[in-house]
Amino acid sequence: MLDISFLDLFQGVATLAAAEPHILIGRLFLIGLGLALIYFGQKGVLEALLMIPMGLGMATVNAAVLFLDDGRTGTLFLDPLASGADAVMTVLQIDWLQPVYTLMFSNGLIACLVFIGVGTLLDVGYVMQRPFTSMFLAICGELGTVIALPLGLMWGLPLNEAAATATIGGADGPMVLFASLILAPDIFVAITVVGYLYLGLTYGAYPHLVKALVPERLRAIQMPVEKLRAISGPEKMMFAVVACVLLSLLFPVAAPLFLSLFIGVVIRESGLTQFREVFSGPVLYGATFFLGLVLGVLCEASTILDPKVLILLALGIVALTFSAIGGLLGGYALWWFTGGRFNPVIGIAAVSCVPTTAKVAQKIVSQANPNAIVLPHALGVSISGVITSATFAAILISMLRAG
Amino acid sequence: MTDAALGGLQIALTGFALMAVVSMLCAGLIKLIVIGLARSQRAKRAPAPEFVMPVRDDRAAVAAAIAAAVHVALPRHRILRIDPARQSADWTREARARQHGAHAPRR
Repeated sequence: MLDISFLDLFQGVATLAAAEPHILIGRLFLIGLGLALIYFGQKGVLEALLMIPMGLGMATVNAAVLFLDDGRTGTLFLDPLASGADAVMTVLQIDWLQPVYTLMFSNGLIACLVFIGVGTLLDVGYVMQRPFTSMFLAICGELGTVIALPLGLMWGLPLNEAAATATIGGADGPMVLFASLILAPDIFVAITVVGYLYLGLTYGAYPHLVKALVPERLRAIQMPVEKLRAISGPEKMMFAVVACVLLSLLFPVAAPLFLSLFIGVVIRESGLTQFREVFSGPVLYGATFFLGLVLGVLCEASTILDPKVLILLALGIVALTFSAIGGLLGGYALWWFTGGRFNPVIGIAAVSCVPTTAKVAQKIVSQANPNAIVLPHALGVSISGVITSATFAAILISMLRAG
Repeated sequence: MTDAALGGLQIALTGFALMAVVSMLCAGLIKLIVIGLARSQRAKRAPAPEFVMPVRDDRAAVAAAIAAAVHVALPRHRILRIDPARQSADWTREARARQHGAHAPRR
């Protein structure tokens, strides 16, 4: 008769039984968290496009830990800790998501693909109609980065890691991935996971923050009718080309992201319908899917459970909360400056999570006054936020690399 | 606050100030582009031709008939332009739909 024990047969359970207590608890917690992400994503509380693949990846990878040939535990998904050409080549032939991680994730390609897709969805006409207002609010929405950086240093992070984590305040997922890859390659996985996790939460959490900070009579303010000239496609293209070249000249370190974003805008405005359909559909959603899946799979307990993660979690929430408060303070400043005609809720769109925060602003305003339309203003602010957060991240990278 | 945190605050504030300056310059650049292009378009715009009803043109009668029919059928809509039918940029989608339709098993 065959002598096979239960634990030899079911290795996921065996590795759970053999794990140290903190890993055991961590795996069970992450399985539960993954299932919760799927549930809340499906309910519409969290961003479903990212959270559903991320949640299933997270739950599955923590269930599917097995004993490898050399006695270590691991998975057949990917190994982010593989280093050296031989080890990477070996794992590329074994782990099914390793090619996506090595060739698209860890070099920032997936972030650039998302940015091209986002660019094809951006109508920069909203910024061009109100450039100073939009940019002012977007600058206010970077407050979280300013506060999180020294706070990270106070909590014991080195400068590069504190700066990379602080970029979560810019609320731009690809930017967080890109900045942490350059500034803190050792913990970029944890920073990116925390960043995306919180960005997914903004849709559910920001309405409560706005309602707490802006009274209903101000949320109901209807924006005055403006006589604005329609911005033509060639004008938008010209802005995108000039901005791309100038910003790349100033900050070469972020040039891949600038090019990705603005080439998306140029594709949209140049009438290249075939390119636009490809980048705004299959490329954007394909990249978002694999980004979510790989982020989820990277949340394997033994990889991600590090005392630093608790600091990153706290810093991330501080950064995003203060960025939202900064945006709302900017909204209040414009409300005061315009004699009470500007709706301060638009300030929440300064947290540049395009187009989520703009939609949040419109949703909250519509609840207070169904006739009030703030979406065009909010989109302009949100798009400006992409430019300011890219600029801020590029400045931080340049300053720290120079220092 | 520790020295390291003060140093970090200094870096963050310097970076923030630089970002604000660059972003506002970007806003100024946008304004310049919008104003410059608006002026150049105004200068290039030719005077509008005198309106002459092409009464002897049969196409005008056809266009008027189409407009009247659409107005009767869809009173809340306005005709902005009547053009000869052109092949749209979505020809791939149309071709794909035809091909998929041709293979529908229940037809």
